[in-house]
Amino acid sequence: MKLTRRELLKYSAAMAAASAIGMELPLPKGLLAKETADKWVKSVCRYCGAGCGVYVGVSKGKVVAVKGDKDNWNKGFLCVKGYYLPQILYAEDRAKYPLIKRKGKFERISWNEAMDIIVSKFAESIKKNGVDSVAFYGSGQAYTEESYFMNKLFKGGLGTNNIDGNPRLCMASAAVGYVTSFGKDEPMGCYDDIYHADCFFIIGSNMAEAHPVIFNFINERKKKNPGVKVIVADPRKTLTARIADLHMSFVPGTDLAILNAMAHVIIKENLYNKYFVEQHVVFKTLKDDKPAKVSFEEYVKFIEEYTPEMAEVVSHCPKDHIIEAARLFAKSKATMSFWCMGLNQRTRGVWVNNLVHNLHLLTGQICRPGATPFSLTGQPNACGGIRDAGLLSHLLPYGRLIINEKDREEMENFWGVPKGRINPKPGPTAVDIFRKFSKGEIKCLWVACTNPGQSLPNLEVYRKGMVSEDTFLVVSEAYHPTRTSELADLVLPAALWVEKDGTYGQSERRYQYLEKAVNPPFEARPDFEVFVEFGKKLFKALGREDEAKKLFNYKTTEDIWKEIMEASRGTVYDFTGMTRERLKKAHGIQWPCPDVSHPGTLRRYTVKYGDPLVKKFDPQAKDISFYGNKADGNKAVIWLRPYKGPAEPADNEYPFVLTTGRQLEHWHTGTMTLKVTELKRAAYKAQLEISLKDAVKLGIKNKDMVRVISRRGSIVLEAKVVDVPREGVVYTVFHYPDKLINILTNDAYDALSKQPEYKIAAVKIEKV
Amino acid sequence: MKIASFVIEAIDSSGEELKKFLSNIEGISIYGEKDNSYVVVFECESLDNVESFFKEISKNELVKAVLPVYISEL
Repeated sequence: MKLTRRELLKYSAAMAAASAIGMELPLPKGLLAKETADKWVKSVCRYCGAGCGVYVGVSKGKVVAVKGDKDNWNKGFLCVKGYYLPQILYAEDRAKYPLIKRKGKFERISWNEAMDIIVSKFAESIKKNGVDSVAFYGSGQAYTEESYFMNKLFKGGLGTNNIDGNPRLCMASAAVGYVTSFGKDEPMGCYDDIYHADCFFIIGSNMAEAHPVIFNFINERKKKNPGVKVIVADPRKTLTARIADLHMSFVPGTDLAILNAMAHVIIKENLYNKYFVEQHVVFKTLKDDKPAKVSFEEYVKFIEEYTPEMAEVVSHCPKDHIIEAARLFAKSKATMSFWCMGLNQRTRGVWVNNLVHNLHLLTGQICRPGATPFSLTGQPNACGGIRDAGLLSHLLPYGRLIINEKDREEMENFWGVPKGRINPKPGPTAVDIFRKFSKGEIKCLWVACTNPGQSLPNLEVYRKGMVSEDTFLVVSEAYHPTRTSELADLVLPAALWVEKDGTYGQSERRYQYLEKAVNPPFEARPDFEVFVEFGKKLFKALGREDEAKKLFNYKTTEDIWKEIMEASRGTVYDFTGMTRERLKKAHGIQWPCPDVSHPGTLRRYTVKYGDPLVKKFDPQAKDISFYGNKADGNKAVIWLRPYKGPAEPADNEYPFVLTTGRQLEHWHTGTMTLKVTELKRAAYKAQLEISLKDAVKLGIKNKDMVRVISRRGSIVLEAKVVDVPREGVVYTVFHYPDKLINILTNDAYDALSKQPEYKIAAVKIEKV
Repeated sequence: MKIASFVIEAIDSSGEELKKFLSNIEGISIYGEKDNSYVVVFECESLDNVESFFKEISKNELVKAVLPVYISEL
């Protein structure tokens, strides 16, 4: 019997719900019977930064099923994407063999030949043009061991900071936001805070689709506790907004005014926590572009102009909503904020992150159960492998900075490389790496486990730049072709997810080990193995074979994990107690975890709730201490951040704001989820969401084809007239490789985080 | 056409009553039950209908908890 699409969708929906409660749903007729697993391997979902624990069912050397880990934080819940994970491993377009492009066509070559070519290209370029002529672009999906190795190879081995990762595009503003407000990166709270919060402030995040499992727990909390309030600030009436007690709709890019206005109300109505502010906060502003301390009174004066009325004029968010949100935020027993790309992908991304932190600091809604500012993460190892391990061009491992001489010396000593080896100048960030590659300033670029040929903003410019006879692009990928691998000079087939082993670190500082469950297909290999081989051979080609033996003496990922643990020793991240043996057994452990008997830390910066490092870094602290910010006496910073609009607001010529995002069924550039039959059936094309009012004005009907035109290019999409975006805002997703939405988006970036403003591009719409 | 799925948990001992109640709602299909929780799929015209269903069923006295899990479009 052939199932109709309607029946399939209904069954997919039911299966997702059944999996959420660990129930086996009988398969409908017309579908193949599910194979029974011979063994279940503990692992982590491959997709978002929520980091759901899973068990992977293996039978006859194949992954046949995935179920949620009931003993992990997600309590056995998975979203629909997680449930269908097995299919991503067996897609027809898995990259099978190393390929070289000759005369515009890919030809199969051996691994030895591929490695010889890469090594000779990189070595030749380094000898001729210096170390800054080569670069690596990594991923928040790579394992920590892989990212740490390439970071060490480039910064400690070669002495170049030409290494950055795709988290620069998704969470750099959150990272710099934490650092500027609290001295060090990463959230102090955890998912357990959901069970203690009685007010949720969700801004710039459609959790219901992008982080559905976390959202489910908020729903559950609200259902069981009717007094719990949910505030959603979003220019779209998203699925998330539809459960909100208060939906604050506003013109994209104006939220700095709203957040300052909430602070204004909190001050005016005396809702701030005077004791907390006196004990734990300093105030800062920028004077002549440098941070300068100011008094509380100066802050009050600064915030004076941000009345709810002023914010309403700027943002079109009703002032009553702003006042109500401020009161709910401040008066609740415990307020937890969540945000994601809506705040981060902005030219004022760091500032707007700071303004959320300001609200928590003003009200003392921080460092106790349920009270915390929590940045959601897009990729499964953006926190652990990139932010923590330091694979960004301005970072060194575990909170150390390239510009800090002491930090450079520490890592030089740790790695056993000569003093001065690490370049004191931060390297180019994601967009600038591709800009330099386009100009030929970078000659050899290695892209691993990511798809910049689809995901970079102002895409057409960088796609053209990736193809040149003067440069050499290596792409390590599990699939081929992707919109990036099609541009490569050389493609390396990569093992995917449980075809290799390694460590992931998710949004709440939880590190989890992923065991290898099955072999990779054809000639695909784990990136770690390939990177180590490359490092050794490159150094041999550079005449530094002896140094390579010392620097890259790893046989397994456990060898390098031991070094990684040691790199964290003495830092605020300290996870020297997270041995591989412990991680294999545990359902994740949260750092800090400074010894093998430590259970891990739910909440940081508080003695009362168990941070083991407070007394180490701030012996005088009685409870709360923001010990990452020693320079300010272990206090956090409330920043005076004025309202600034987006780089490209709507105007007469381009009267709409285009904003982009994700949908429940798909993840990022769709290389994995679009291989899953059920998910692709459920959602298979990009559409342009447009409000009914705007559609009427333009004479556009549902399913009409429209041309969306920005200053950078145009694309034709099917219109979806729907009560979701506010008037003046249009929306689409970036998952589909046949519709390169990022041709339209803006590559202007935040001055501090260098994260581009994907979320706001001025466009015009024409009916085709 | 929207297709949404929910896990709806019944108040202790009212599972059968809840099942009957749900069965009478147009667009509802019940796929199974485990530990007093029902796997329910709701078909309707718009997101507003999904939202209304969610709000209404959440208030029902036979219901202990409602978890929206999935939504898609035909």
